[in-house]
Amino acid sequence: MPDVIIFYIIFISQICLISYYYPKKFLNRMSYVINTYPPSKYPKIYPKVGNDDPELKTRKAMQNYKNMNILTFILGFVLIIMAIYTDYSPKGEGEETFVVFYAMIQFFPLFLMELSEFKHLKRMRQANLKTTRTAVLKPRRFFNFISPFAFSLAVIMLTASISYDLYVNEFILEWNNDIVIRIFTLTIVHVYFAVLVIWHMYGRKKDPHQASKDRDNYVKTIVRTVVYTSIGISLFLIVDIAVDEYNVSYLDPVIMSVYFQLLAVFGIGTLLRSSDLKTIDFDVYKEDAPI
Amino acid sequence: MEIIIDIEGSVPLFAQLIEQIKQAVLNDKIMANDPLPSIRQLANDLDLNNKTVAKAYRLLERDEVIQTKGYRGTFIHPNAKVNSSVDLNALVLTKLNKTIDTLRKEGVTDSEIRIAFSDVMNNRIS
Repeated sequence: MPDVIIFYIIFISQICLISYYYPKKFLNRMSYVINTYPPSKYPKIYPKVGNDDPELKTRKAMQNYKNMNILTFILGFVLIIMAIYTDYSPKGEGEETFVVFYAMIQFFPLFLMELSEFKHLKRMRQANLKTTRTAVLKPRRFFNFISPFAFSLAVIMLTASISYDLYVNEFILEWNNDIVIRIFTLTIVHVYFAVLVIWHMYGRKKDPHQASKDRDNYVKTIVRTVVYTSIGISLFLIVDIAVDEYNVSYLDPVIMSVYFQLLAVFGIGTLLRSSDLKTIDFDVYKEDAPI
Repeated sequence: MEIIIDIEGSVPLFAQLIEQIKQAVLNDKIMANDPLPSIRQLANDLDLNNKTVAKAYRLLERDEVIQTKGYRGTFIHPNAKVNSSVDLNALVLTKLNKTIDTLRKEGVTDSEIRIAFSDVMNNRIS
């Protein structure tokens, strides 16, 4: 019984953290930007699409994001009520699936917001008519953005998780084995992380007006998010393998929920903590901004 | 240190790059042995073709304003400040003017000089 109560507490924490706390923070930031830097004075932040009012369009997008999160928040509590009603009790028979499924629904609004940010930046590039371009005569290097300690920790954790997995499976590697799938998935995820970092460090400017120091801060945020997420994934794998090894699979839903919350803290949390709106140079988005 | 490129300016993009890097060296905004961004980074930041930046770097390396140290990257040459003040364009103009004056004194017409110059530049006559 205590494990069921622990699960409910942790699951409520997941609902509140991912569908209430972080969305609220995001919306506060967006409101701060649109109220402090309105389209009338900072038109370059809000590229026009057709005859749409950019402020109205942004506020509508914010409202949609808010509504989606309210729905997910309510859905979370509906799931809890259903679980109490049906006497839900994890027995280690794959009950964590619903936690995973619910977390995916929770992250969906964020995914949509990321997509709309890409579209927004593309529109900014298309609307940019200035003929001058700027660049800093300084190389961007990986360790300018993250401490060697944090990076080494991520590498050690990754190696430890794979080694532990191999040890538990007595170093037997077969194609249909779970371990091969896990190593393959880890490789894909880390290749994706590497590409993401390289893309942001050396790729074309996503925001054509962004000041150099703001771009560096943004890259730092991305690098930190990726490294901390990698540490989180490795940590989760070690715990997940240990749970199977010590036959405490009934804890899987709890661990899965904690994992998604850690992902949110490492990912969204790092993003919010690292980029302070008050330090961003918004003057570059004014109509008559200097080069 | 920030550089600014005007993509619609009358000066070619690679020449703008060269000029600004030399100016940065002369004004002590970048010092000897300071690292420079990679060709790819600079090209992407300025939204230019890699070849344009590569050409500028190649010419700066020829002038000993920058030096490439293999995989470690590109750095400002230790003698960059002295070398940045050498104006090769002025040198070319002085030498060409001198040669053209000599040829005119020999009775060669301007159109003959132009044709000969173009032939030499196109490697048709060695």
